[in-house]
Amino acid sequence: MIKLLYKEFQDDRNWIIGLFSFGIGINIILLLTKARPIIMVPVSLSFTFQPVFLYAFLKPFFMFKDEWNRNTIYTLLSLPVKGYEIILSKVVVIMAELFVYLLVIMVIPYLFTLAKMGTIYGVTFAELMKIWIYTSFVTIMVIPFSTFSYITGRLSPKLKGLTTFFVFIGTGIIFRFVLPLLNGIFRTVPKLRISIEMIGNYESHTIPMAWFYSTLLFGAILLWASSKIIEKVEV
Amino acid sequence: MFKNNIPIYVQISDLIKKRIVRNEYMQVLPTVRELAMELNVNPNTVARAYRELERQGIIKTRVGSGTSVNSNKKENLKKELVMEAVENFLLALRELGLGSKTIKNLLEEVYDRDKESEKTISRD
Amino acid sequence: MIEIKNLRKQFPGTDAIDGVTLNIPDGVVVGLAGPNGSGKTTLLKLIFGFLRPSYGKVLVDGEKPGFWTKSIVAYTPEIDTLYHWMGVREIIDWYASFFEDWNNTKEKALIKILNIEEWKKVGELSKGFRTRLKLLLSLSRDAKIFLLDEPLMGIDPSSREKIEKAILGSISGKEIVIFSTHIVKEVEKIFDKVIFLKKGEIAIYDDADTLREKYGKGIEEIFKEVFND
Repeated sequence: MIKLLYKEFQDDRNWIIGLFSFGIGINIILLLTKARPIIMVPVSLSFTFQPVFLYAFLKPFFMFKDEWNRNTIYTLLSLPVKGYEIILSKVVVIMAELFVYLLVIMVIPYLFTLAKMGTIYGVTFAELMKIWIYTSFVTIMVIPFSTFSYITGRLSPKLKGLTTFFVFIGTGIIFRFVLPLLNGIFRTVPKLRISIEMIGNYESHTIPMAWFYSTLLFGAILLWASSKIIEKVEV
Repeated sequence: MFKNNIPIYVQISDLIKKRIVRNEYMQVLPTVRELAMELNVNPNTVARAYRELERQGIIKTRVGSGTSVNSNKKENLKKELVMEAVENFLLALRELGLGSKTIKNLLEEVYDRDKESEKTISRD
Repeated sequence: MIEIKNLRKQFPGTDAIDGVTLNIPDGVVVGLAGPNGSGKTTLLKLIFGFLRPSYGKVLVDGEKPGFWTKSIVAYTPEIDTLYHWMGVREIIDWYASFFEDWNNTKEKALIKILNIEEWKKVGELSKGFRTRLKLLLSLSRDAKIFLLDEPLMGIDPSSREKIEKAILGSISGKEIVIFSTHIVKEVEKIFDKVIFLKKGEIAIYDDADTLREKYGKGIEEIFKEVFND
């Protein structure tokens, strides 16, 4: 799996550099616009959250489609590796990219603010880390859905795109029904508490976490299913 | 090097026979693998050739000591190959329409010429 | 050993393989010949497991092709399947790390005989040299079965002997090598057995030398005879 991870990171070098540069770029822009440091983090986050979410959604399609287009899927499937190794190595790379990107656009403005103002108005580093981790996980939640839809689409020799689309819709519908059941499992998990003090206002948000874990669990199941399917796919 | 219309193992056997008669293999034959690498052919085909030669009694394989030439058979082998060459030669001439008498005269002519050139060489 | 029984593979609109029964014992080099579209690549893919039978079965050493068989079967595809951005040396090391049966001695010998340019990137290699690299990746393994799909693709006539040498030098005699090719005449001398595939069916499956004795012709000549009606 490490060997596959190595190859996946190398393969995606260009996107990694691109994302990282984009993140640094955002920071530079914010710096140049002399925005009030306090708003840098929320601004950079909201400014780029949609593209980041879009990236998380689309990336699995592109990553897997690429292997087929370049015919390198033959190399990949000729290796004595299990399906989950192929799936996970790609998913881990996308996750790592997103975690790091969000870190760049959250932590660096934070540090600027700290440097400029000497204080962060009550957003401790610990709270920032909580926000970062929570946001990152929410972003990556869509990855298993895209992955599963694409891989399943590959099972049918014709109408791949159509199959992918319907599987995606279907999975979403199933998820809507299954979510309440899964939430039941996670009824007793502790809620996430984020406390920030903004311009004199102390805000504390309590986020119910059942849905969070349920979605991650459902995603894990989708990834497991994708691993089984990719072992059966024909090329 | 090899023709495609004759079984390869037969061509390899013939080659080995020639080499034995020419004393290129005195006692021991190369291993199947060595010969296969030299001729750039499949070792299985060489193995088949060896089996065929063993069946004809020309070579003998003993575990541990490799494959050796059966020296008793060597004289007969030479005769056999020579006769084969002669018969092929005669066949070729007959196909060109030459009769027996013509062939005999032709052979004498070539033989005398050959002897003359031998004398010339020794004189110098 | 490869056992194939009543194998059929259907694609939308065509029966690529239409009733193939075949037993290939260990220790043979098999030439797989047939016109374009006769099903050669499909057959190789079915043996490796890239495709699954529509009917019938394929057994490799008693097992259906799958995860386990990938560690004993080496497949050399006809098409371009390597990562162009990887360095040649890099891809050899990377690929080798997945296989327990990787033989470093063979690798070194093959790099030499196939003139592999280790310092280049895969994408910088010409077609012929990419074929050589693909061959190296398969032949450096001590695999039990080698499936070679058009290993002479892009190889100039003067280098064909080298490829033969590379293949023959990589096997110990206990393996199955299936060599699929259009270019029969130059390489037929290394075949133990020959399969003629015609429209997804086996037209001939016999020993190469037996065929030569029977027909008094070379394999390519026999091939032309079989396919010209």
